[in-house]
Amino acid sequence: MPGNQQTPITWNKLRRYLGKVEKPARYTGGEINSVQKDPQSVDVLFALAFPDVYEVGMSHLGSQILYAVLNGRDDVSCERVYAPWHDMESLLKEKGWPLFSIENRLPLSSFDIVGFSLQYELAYTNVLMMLDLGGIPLRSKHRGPRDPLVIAGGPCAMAAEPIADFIDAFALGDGEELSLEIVDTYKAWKATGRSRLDLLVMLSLVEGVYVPSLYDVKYNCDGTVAGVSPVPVRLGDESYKSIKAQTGDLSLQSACFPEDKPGYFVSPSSVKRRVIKSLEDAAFIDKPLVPLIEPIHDRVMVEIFRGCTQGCRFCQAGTIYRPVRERTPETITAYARKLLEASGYGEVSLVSLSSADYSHIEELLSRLMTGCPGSRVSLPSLRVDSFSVELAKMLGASRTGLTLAPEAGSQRMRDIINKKVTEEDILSAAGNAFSSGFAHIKLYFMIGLPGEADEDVTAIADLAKKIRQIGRDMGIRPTIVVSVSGFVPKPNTPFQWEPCIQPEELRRRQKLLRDGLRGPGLNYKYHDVEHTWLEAVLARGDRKLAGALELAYERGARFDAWSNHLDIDIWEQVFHDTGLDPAFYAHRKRDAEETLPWDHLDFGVSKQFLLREREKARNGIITSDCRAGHCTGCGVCLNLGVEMSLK
Amino acid sequence: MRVRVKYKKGDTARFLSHLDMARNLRMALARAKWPVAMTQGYSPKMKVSFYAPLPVGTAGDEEYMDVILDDEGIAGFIQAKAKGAGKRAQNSDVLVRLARALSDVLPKGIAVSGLYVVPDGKPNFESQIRASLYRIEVEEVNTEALSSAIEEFLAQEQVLFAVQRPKQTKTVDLRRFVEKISLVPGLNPATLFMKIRHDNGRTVRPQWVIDSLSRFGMGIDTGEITVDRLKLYLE
Repeated sequence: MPGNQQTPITWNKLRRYLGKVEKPARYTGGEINSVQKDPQSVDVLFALAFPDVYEVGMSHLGSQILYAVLNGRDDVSCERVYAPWHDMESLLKEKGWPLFSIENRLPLSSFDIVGFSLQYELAYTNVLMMLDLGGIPLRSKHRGPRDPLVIAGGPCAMAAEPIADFIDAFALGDGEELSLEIVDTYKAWKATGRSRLDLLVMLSLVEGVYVPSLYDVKYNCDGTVAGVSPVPVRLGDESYKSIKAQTGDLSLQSACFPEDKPGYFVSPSSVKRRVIKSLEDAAFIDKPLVPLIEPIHDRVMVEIFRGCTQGCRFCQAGTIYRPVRERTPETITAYARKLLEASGYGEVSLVSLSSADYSHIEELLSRLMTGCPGSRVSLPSLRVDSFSVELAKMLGASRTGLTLAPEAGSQRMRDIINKKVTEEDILSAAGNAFSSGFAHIKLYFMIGLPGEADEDVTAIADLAKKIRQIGRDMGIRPTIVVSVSGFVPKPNTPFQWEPCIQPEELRRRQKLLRDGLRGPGLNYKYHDVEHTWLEAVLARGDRKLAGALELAYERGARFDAWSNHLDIDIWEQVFHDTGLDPAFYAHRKRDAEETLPWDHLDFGVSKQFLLREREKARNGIITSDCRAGHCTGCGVCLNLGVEMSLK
Repeated sequence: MRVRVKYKKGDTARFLSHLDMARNLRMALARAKWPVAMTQGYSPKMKVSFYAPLPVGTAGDEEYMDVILDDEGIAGFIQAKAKGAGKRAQNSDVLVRLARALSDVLPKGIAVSGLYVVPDGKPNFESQIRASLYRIEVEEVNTEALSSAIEEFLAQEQVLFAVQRPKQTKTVDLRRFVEKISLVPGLNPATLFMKIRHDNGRTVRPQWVIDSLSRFGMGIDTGEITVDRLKLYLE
């Protein structure tokens, strides 16, 4: 019998009060291709938890993949749960109802496994809210034999030490195979009827699973991490024997069951990220979930390749999804057709980190246009060059406008961040765009990048004006939207040691840019300084932040990623009350020798490579893309035993 | 060919808005591979019309949409569906097959209940709708107070109500639209039927009427009532 037997919220009960909340269809289910199994008929009940509202979660491709993979198994039922909006949180509390799943309206606490998707740090308080409303003890150490196993994956899992105290196990890397191995391990453990510690130990032996409670963090007196090391745990005789015997990998067995410590288990000193070898052969969703209310991305998505080798030095996605693994144009076209038919959508989006890099992009687009007649094809994440504009033109996107991301305004800055594009590229792309009928161009930039001077900031305005002038010279009146975000140094990147600039300084640079961007046809958009600041604190935080997170949640912090929802006073007070200095995390320059809170998690790219890239950034030296055939020595293929797979 | 589809909106689909319903029905038509005629232009859209919008939370037993089918496409649709059957398709077969194809792909809570061809030259359907009949269920309410509030409402010549729109507030006279309200005695939850007029597409929501009863001594949280539209009266 799966889960903990608890009664679902009945439809009649829920129906009566749903009229009180905004967009009640967020909580009703009934979506096309949703899977509703009888909980009694399966061995493992898995809750796929997305810590943001329904419309955001339903737009997340990774969750759709895991939903299909897990429900593809007869012995597993995977149900979804999203962060309830404020009104629903109030209703749950008023009625004394627990947070429940969409499909069978089961309380979150009745699941065997609750798996969170961590897409951005500012969703951490929502994770706590969902656990709390779901009736699950917040801290891992307070959970007992009847509580669900709480796991988390996604990009943040590679450095999620601030929420390590709340998560039983992190799943690092690609989830297609790993999620099933976790389920199998859970099933095997459940059959033994042994303790929760046994489960954690068994999970820590699965490659790609990081069990934070099996590691101890020591700090230096200046607050930096001195080291993260496995804590030896005493297992019962029977557990010791059977888990040891089941550890097939002999080198892992001898490392984790040291002879000089009989009866003790020592988890692996570092945890490697999981990668699937081939995207071409990876699980594919043939029955996409179609929400009944409009999600953020209202179209079907086909991943054309995973990983990116552009090597932009600020970009975490560019390192933690390596190496590049492509699908063939035939497969992509066949998938797109199936998805369009099964969903009723008229648009397919080709998902990747840099679409124009796809080896057969032109062939793919013409195949799609003949293979999926009447459907639109959209291509996000274009490069800033004329080739990309040609692609956009092929797709007839001129009525919607063109979005390009030069990321920095001056050539000097673009060299620092390894954005391999010259001003000439940008201007000729713009000229091409205007002559192709685009009148609206949206440009993405970052400010606060390492080494940035005022000239680099004003160069953004100059570039926008040059682009506007090109349009004017061609007899059109273009609109240039300049969208600017504050740079947040991220773990696993060459800039992971750099300080994030102070909020006041970011504000000054924003104003500097605004002053340069006045005039007709120029539109300036920028992110809140507060969001940048909090993200910078949490992104590279350590376990000491757990107390602050918990307190912030208790004091009402929710949906911090949403503009107008982040209450910065709560956070400042919380840091004050917990005696933590946010500047220590956000604004401090870290030494190359310093142990970083995520150093025990091996994402494949070597630290030496990141340091070399940092050095090259300082000297403004470009590193080329390894797609072209020159290995840059990042180490990922060797470390993870995979190869770049171009089709 | 104009096909009128009669359908129900209930169960979980009750909580969809009119726009959500239109989106879901269009997507269902695409999944069912109906040969829907498309508009011209840059972004072609299906030629589908929806009538008498229902708000989020209200179910409907007799809802309608009109779909213009592409005459050439119909032959293709029939061929695809009749593959192997070896029979010549009759006009009635077309409707049956269309209905079946659509029924198979509708979201939970939406169901086709009828399908018929509308001859050309008929007046706009919206203007043919004369009134709606609603059933409203109210839990835990003092029925005597409710009954007298309804009586008072009906005794008024005019009941002005401010409708909050995102950008402005519009005032309507509810009384003018309410033809009849009757409270069924002895039911739990308290159940009332309300007939509301449509005037060339203009009408009022039963929730507004219930809300206005607070002026006659009966405050009810409209977020906690269950409203079903049972019937549309046509000319």
